[in-house]
Amino acid sequence: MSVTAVVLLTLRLAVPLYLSTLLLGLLPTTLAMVGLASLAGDRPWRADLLSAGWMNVAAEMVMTAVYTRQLPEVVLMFVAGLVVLPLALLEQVVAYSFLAGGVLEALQVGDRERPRFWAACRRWFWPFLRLSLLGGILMIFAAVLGAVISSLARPVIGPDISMLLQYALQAIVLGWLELSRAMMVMESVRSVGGAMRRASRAALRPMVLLVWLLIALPGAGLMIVALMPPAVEDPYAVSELAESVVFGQMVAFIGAWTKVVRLAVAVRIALTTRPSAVRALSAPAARIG
Amino acid sequence: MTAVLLAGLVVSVAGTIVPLHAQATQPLPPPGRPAAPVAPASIDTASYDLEARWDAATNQIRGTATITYRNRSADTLGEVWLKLYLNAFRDENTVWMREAGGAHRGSDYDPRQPGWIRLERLQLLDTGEDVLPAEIDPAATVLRVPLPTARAIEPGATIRFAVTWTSQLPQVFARTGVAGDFVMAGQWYPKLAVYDRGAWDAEPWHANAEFFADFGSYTLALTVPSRYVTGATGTRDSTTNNPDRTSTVRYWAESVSDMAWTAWPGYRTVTKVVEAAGRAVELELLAPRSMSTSVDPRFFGTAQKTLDLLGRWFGPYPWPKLTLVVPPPNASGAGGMEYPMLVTLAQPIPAPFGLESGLRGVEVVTAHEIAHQWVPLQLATNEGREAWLDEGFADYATMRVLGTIYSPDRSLVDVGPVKLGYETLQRTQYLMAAVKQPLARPSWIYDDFIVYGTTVYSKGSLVLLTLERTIGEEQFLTAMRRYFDRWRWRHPTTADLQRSLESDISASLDWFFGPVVYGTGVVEYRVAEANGQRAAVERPGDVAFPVPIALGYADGSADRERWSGDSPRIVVQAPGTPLRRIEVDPERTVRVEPNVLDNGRDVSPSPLPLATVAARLLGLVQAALTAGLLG
Repeated sequence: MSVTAVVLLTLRLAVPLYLSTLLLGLLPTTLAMVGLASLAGDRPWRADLLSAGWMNVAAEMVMTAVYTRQLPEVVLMFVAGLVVLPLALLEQVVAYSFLAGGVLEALQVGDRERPRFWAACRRWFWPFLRLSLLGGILMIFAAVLGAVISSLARPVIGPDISMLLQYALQAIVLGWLELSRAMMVMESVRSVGGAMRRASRAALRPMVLLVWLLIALPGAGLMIVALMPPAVEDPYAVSELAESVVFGQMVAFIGAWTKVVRLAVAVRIALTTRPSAVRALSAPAARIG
Repeated sequence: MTAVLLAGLVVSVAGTIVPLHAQATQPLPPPGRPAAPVAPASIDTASYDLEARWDAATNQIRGTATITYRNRSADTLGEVWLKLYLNAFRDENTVWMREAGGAHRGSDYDPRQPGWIRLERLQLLDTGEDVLPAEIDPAATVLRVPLPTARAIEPGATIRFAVTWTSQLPQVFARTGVAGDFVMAGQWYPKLAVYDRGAWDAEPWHANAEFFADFGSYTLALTVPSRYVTGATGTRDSTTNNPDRTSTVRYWAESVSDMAWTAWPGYRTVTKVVEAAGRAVELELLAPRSMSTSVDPRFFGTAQKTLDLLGRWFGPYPWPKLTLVVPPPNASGAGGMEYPMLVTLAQPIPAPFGLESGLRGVEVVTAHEIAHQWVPLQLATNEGREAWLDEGFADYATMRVLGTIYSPDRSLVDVGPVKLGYETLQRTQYLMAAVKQPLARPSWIYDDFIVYGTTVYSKGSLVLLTLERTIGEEQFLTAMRRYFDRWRWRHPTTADLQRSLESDISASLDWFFGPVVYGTGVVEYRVAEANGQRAAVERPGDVAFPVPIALGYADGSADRERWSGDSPRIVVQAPGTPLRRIEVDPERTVRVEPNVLDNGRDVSPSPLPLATVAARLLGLVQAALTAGLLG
């Protein structure tokens, strides 16, 4: 496939992933906005929530609401942030476990022969969910291990390297999991443990480690970009609303696309590490297990 | 942030920081013993010549002192009172410990390493008469010392005491003590109580209370193991190396109300001379060797700016030197305290990628403690009876200083999109527990530390901010400057502050001080209704505080009215053009009003601002979902 074709394919495959973030994101956002609108719907200061000092306004608003016992509104916002958002994160794991199978099969065959995307999603959902749950435990373990190591080494290596170490460790574990997914699909194997064992051999190669570290950077960068949207000049302008919508959705879509790109890289690594799989791929019967 | 701080500074090769604007002026004289005392000698009431020997094996100070007391009152004094602060830490049954519940601001008391002070000799120096009471409660933090009838102190007369004592320092707790070989000696010697307005301050030391002392001249001869690095109130005079591997370091200070010292082999020291409000001040930083030198500019920059700004607003820093002490991490309980010419500070909160410079804990603590160099260390207010006078002022001054250096909306935190102002922190704490608490009351009356802290610090600072914005910044600062000029080296009370302000603004402030400072009054306004034809503003609060009301009309015009708040409700009629917006106190003048969220209303509110907020929030949530490492 040409680069253009790969880009177009990955962009197309990113759409369902992006839509899942949109649907799941609407849950906590809607709940929080119901609470916020109840407190601020007709207040002149609501426009200050779009200023550079928005956090001061938000802090004052929440504390005052607590002081004045406007508890339902505050509770709604806290439930949105502390309950529904974490739940949405878990649901996104489920959604990703579902969509990754379709994405990986499509990436495997490219545009030569379009697989049935949703059928592939269904086929790989349970194995990938098991992988995600196991991966969740591994990620927590990696996070704790990273935190302990970096806190012990912090006096020597400083906070910057310490933070990078933690992030790198998580990026490598994540890459390992994605490689496991790719190998499961390529080899039509539903055994999570076996795929992870095989992926670990490839995942520890220096070049592969470097790839996962590099590919983690755009993800971190996108989060930083999302945290710093362009300043709002006129809170009452439709153009500002449109700009905010476009900006937010662009960042979300690019985020979803980087995930698909990561899976594409995993497929590529899996191909290079298992020549037999490359040969097998040339036989159409072996495409989908 | 450091870059911001240092933007206007020039660092000379000698390590001296001098603001750019100072270059055009005459060269500053080097700091040192001033040709003339910083204050008239007549302010000397209680002066101390202290000798202290630190015993690292026992964590004890063996001290001797000559205390010279001048009776500046019109009364003949037949007794004196001594404060024995360290006895508060003798065990868990002292008044102080019972009130504190065995902990102080996050630090726990270790009963295995208590603190105490034991008087061993108390004589009248001139006659040799022993005046040490026969019965002394070892847990008492105040001691009444009757004088022989013939030695009663006449008005204007002076008496001298010779004192010998031993102080046991506790494990670092409540700003004093030891941690390993680190020593912070505060409240470590017997101090004369204050006789003011016809009475001795005979109150025992309470957990939430701080200190109260007269001014005087101090000398200290401090003997410590030679490997120790020392710092103390005052200026270092000389160092003598003794044959027993100890060194005696001598300090002196004039017009101060206390003498604290620290010693630790782990200190590194950096000294700079800075210009502050036209005067040269020597800054000496004592910091752990383990602390990166890259943090030093934050301490020096904040100290210089604070000294300069407060000097311009309230009168110059009067002493030649200020020692900045950063305790080691295992002695953080010693941080965040003010002594004359010496402040203890806090290390920065660690964060990667330079983000720690946006967490302004260093700046807040540094500015706050240095602000105390004005109150209570020039205006010696009673920190126990009216703590808001010094703590409220210090936080008000910190708000002003940090708001000037940075911006008021990001003076506490400025990390990417997270920006918080120190004023927001004060407002938040005020709403927690302080709204209906009187300010001018003894610290030990408050229910607990939270109520005490949110009231004296946060409500205190917001009261001063409210006065500033109500009276007008320039006029208020002028009035405050006059308050400082009137009461410097004396013991002002809340009533003195009120009278001083009133005389300069030529108006009574009873309507505000009565309910808000002395009482439980609440300032509260709300827009009760608003439509195109009329709007109603109500005053549910019990304080009639004059406020502006801003009105916006459909044709784009605007109007402004001032409401005295005398009546419980006011109705505003639209003059013909439909009313579009009404806002009470739109500039947030009244910072003691708890609920400002209902102060305004749009008659036909546009959904666009909240829709834009929703769009941004949704994008952020989606990014978080995508960034979820497993998602």
